[in-house]
Amino acid sequence: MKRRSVVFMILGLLMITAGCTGTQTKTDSAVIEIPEIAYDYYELDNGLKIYVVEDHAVPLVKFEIWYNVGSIDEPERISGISHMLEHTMFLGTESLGKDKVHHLTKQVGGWANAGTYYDFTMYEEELPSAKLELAMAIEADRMRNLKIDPEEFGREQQVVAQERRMRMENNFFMSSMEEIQAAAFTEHPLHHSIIGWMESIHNYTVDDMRAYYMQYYAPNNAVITVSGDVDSKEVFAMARKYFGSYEPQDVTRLGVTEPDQTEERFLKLEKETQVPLIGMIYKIPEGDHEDIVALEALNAVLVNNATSRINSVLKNEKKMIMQAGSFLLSVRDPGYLFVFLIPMSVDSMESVKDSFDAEITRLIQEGVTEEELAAVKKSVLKSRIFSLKSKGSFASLLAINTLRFDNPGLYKEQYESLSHLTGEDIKDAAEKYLVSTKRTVGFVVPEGK
Amino acid sequence: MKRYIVFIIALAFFIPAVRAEVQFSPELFDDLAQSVNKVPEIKIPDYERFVLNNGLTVYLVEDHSLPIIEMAGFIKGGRAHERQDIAGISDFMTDLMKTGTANRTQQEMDRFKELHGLSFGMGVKRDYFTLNGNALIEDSGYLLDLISDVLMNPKFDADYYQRKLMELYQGLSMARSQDPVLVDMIFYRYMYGDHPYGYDSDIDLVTNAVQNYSPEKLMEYYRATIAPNMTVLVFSGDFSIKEMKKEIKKAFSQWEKAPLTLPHQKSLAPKDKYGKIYIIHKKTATQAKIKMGFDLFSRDYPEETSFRMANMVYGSGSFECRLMDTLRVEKGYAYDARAGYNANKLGGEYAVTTDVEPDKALDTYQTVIREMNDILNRVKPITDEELFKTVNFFNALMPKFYVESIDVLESVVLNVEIWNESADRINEMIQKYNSIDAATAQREFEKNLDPEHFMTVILGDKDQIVPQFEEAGIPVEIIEM
Repeated sequence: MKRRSVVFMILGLLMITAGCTGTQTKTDSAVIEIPEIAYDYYELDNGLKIYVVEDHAVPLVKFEIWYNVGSIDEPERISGISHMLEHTMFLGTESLGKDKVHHLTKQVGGWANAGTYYDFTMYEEELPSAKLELAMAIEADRMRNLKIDPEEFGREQQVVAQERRMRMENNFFMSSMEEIQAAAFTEHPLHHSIIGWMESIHNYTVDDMRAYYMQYYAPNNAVITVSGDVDSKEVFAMARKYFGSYEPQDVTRLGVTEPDQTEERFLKLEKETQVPLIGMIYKIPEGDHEDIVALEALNAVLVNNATSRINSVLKNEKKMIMQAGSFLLSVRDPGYLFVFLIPMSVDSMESVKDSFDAEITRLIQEGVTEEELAAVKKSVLKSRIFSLKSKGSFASLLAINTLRFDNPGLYKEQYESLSHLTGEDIKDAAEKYLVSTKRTVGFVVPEGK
Repeated sequence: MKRYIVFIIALAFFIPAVRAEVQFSPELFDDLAQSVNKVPEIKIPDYERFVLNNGLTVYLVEDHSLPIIEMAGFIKGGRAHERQDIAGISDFMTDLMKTGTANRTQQEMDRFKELHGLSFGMGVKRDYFTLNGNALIEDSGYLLDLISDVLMNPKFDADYYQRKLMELYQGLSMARSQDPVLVDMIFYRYMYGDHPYGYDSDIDLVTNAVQNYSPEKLMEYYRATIAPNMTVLVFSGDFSIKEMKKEIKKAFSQWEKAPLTLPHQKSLAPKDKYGKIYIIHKKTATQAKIKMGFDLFSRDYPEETSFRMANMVYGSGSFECRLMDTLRVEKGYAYDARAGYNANKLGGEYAVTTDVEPDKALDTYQTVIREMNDILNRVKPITDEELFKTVNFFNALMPKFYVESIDVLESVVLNVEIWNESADRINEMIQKYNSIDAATAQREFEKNLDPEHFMTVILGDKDQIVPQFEEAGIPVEIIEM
């Protein structure tokens, strides 16, 4: 067991260059101490990793188990099966009846849930800290002893199909994004969304599910996080008791690489919408790549900040768009930057796209201002300090960085990179990644337009 | 009608149990799941309340756990001030107030907030406006400056006015593509009729009203709704109350008091739509989006806590509630099904919501009613066990919502200043729900709910949905959008 607790010193991040009209209750400081959250770590012989973040504020505990498998591990025929497996895990084991997980956790005053992402699947229980063992037992049992009753499995397929109707099919933004993403990735499983295609959902077999479960649900492919009113040593002892006898297994992955994109892809989608939408996908590297921090800053400066180039010029000055937004899909494999723009009219879509490109060119030619850089750094510093309010979120961060990159401290490295980030770095990222020949553009228009 | 294959395989597949130190069994799990949680007590932090000469009420609490400051606030009145001809104006007014002021252009405002890491928001509720904000403690002065500037110095005739108006029109147009918005428009229009509580959901009404907006109208509305003597602010953070009090006085003392009154309390509309079913036709919809409900009690209803416990059993939305148990676990129809309610100052509404495949619409409608009737007719009354689980759940989780000082104090202030309730309302509620029995919960459920009065709105393809109801002899009205 290794205990880590340090105080992280950040220098110079509050050196704001702009003038201000406000009064101050305290003098600005060039140094701010960010208290680091302490955590304990333990690894069982079978490779199961466990992080514990003690937090004694209230007598509750959150138990989470993270499996290193998600939709990017799925062959196209069984797209969405990671998510279907997440649902199937609530159908029970020999000892846990169908939906018993919910009933047992509710009985002690807690709740259970789960989530699937592109590169992980997570199960969680929050309950009174004295009942941690219940969560530990539930997850240990269903890590290896899942029962798949065909009739129940079929019923759950209907639930997942309905979830797809609700989340994707009847939401023009989500369904458009799904199609643009599919066009951007032709070989890699990012071709499909997390929930998968409807055809796949209806066609999974019990054998498909059994094979997938057996392949990925193993101690050496999982990370446990426990945050709350617990004692680390007791948690580790409990983990040994429940998971210690499980054998590790070989985990093989698809190993599919997306071929280089050499020309811009374009698709026009007709949807039941009153307003048009432009969606663009740019390819970016995996989440621990050295350029990710610059890409996140670029994302803020170009699109997401209130004073971003797109908001300032396309929205406020030229009044061409109603809204803009973007996010980085930053995962275990190379991902993407998704940008969306909502033009004021269908007729202006081409000129909106051209103006967007012109802003990228301007950013590359003129660089980033000191103010823009300062705003990004301020935002990240503030987020970092406010994130300390939730120790559960910190535990999740450790788990995700461990699953993806076996580097729980990645967040610190990236924060350190950010403190040294320059405008030149952001400009270089734009030049390297915001390339039209590596982009996929979707024009989403109202039906018949 | 689209049908999907359901797999029916004769034999269950069992994966052999792996040998572990622990032998899993139903008994083991039952044994581990025994727990009776303590009745929690929420600690209300020491705070100071003071009122400035202009009537602004301020609550302060010191919290030195992190170098931050957080603000919450309320302005009495809210959407209840609106009239039909200016429906939705509260949202547009607060949007413009956040965009810029007489002292700062939009660009200056945005830059100021970003460089100093300031967050600030305003929202509109039916009976009050909300405020929230935060910053690092080093920037607390900037935060106060921003809040006071926004509240005191609005500029509605700014150069961005026309652009914001265009964005509003586009936003309303975009809303017409969103199924939940369309369902809510019909539901709340018929629920609240000519009452401001339903205006914001009615995109037709708001779209018509927008043409009546003008900078002058907005200023007039601002003067009728926003004033220090209607406002309560709460600050929590890494400051000394003594110093912060000085800063607040400096920031807000110039804000002039106004002789405002709360909105006229007109009664809610008559319920002539109850018992009816409306189908909003959308040919391309691949699901039926269902909302069923009726009017409910107002905020001051004395047995609200008992009703809440009963309704959790029926439709909390979690897996153990009756609706989820039937519609998802047993039938596999829905991903989510829940029953919720809003209790406003003048009256509230109750609604069951779910989404299902179109050919399941009738059965879902009938299941929602049957499950409610099974409780009402005491075929399956609320049991002691169900109530115990609900109370036990609340007892365990309630403290986590009141860990942060700002959350506790915000709740205290809402109860005291907006609802005229006790400062200890949170703990009173905890005592209350721990004192009720299944019979009390059952009685409250029976007293307040009646499926005969359900007004139902279903969005979907009428060609798939209507025949089901016609065959069952249930009349429906079609709404073409």
